[in-house]
Amino acid sequence: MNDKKRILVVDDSAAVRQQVAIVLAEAGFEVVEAGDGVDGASVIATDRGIAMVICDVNMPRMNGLDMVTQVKKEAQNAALPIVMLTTEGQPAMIKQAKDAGAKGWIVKPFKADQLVATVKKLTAAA
Amino acid sequence: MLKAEHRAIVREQLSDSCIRLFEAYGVTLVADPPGGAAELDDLSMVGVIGFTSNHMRGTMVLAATDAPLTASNRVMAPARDWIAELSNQLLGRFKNRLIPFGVELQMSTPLSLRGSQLRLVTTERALEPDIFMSPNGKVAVWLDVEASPDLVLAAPVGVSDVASEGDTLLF
Repeated sequence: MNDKKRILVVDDSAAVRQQVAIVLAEAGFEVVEAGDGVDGASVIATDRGIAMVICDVNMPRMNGLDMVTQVKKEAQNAALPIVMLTTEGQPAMIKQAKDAGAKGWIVKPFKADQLVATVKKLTAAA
Repeated sequence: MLKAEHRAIVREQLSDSCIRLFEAYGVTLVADPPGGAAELDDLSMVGVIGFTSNHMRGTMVLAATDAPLTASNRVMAPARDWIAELSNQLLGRFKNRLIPFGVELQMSTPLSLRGSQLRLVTTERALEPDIFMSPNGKVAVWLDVEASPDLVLAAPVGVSDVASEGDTLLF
């Protein structure tokens, strides 16, 4: 039986998804990927084993902030931790994410040790 | 076109953002001085990303020879994806640096091009490209900008509350 915690990475950049996947796999997590907010929300709706979501902001079709807002409207996702991973740093946008229900904000490029520590902390608390 | 005083600010912020970005991925860039020997006739990959704001809009172009891209690409992501992501992160840095000056850019998503012996032709509204040398290749970045006459780049006051690259904020 696979007891690894499953992390969903939502980013339109395959390079970033690959970077995150390698770091988290080395730390003992299973990673699933989605390329935009529409696909990310779909994975969350169908895979109840997702322990945490790492999500870009600027993406085609549906951006990350809209995805968080949509996902957090569902009561079953209330406890699902979502952290934004983005180039953006404006306080207003960070507040928007927080108000929508995100648990954190990381500015790219991420530091591998901090990302792993964040994922461990938030998946332990979930 | 940008006013001369604005061009200097924009160019300085973009140039330093480019150096810091590659530094974060383990590649040291040294700026080629104006009139330097570097030529832009052998670029192989280009990342392009657009931006808009209330008073300026345009395109940022990041171009490079293969070696600096390969050296910075630790996970060996496909080259087209990688230069697109570097373009995204470079414009993100630049954007965050302009916020204290009172300008908030909206970014589009990046695209990438691969070519052979790509050459740059600038227009009068484009800033002269900043060219950087790495130990085994070249990186160039430039902006093509339209600015309205009422664009103001206010001098930053106090400490910026914009989150910086690598920051982790938990709520």
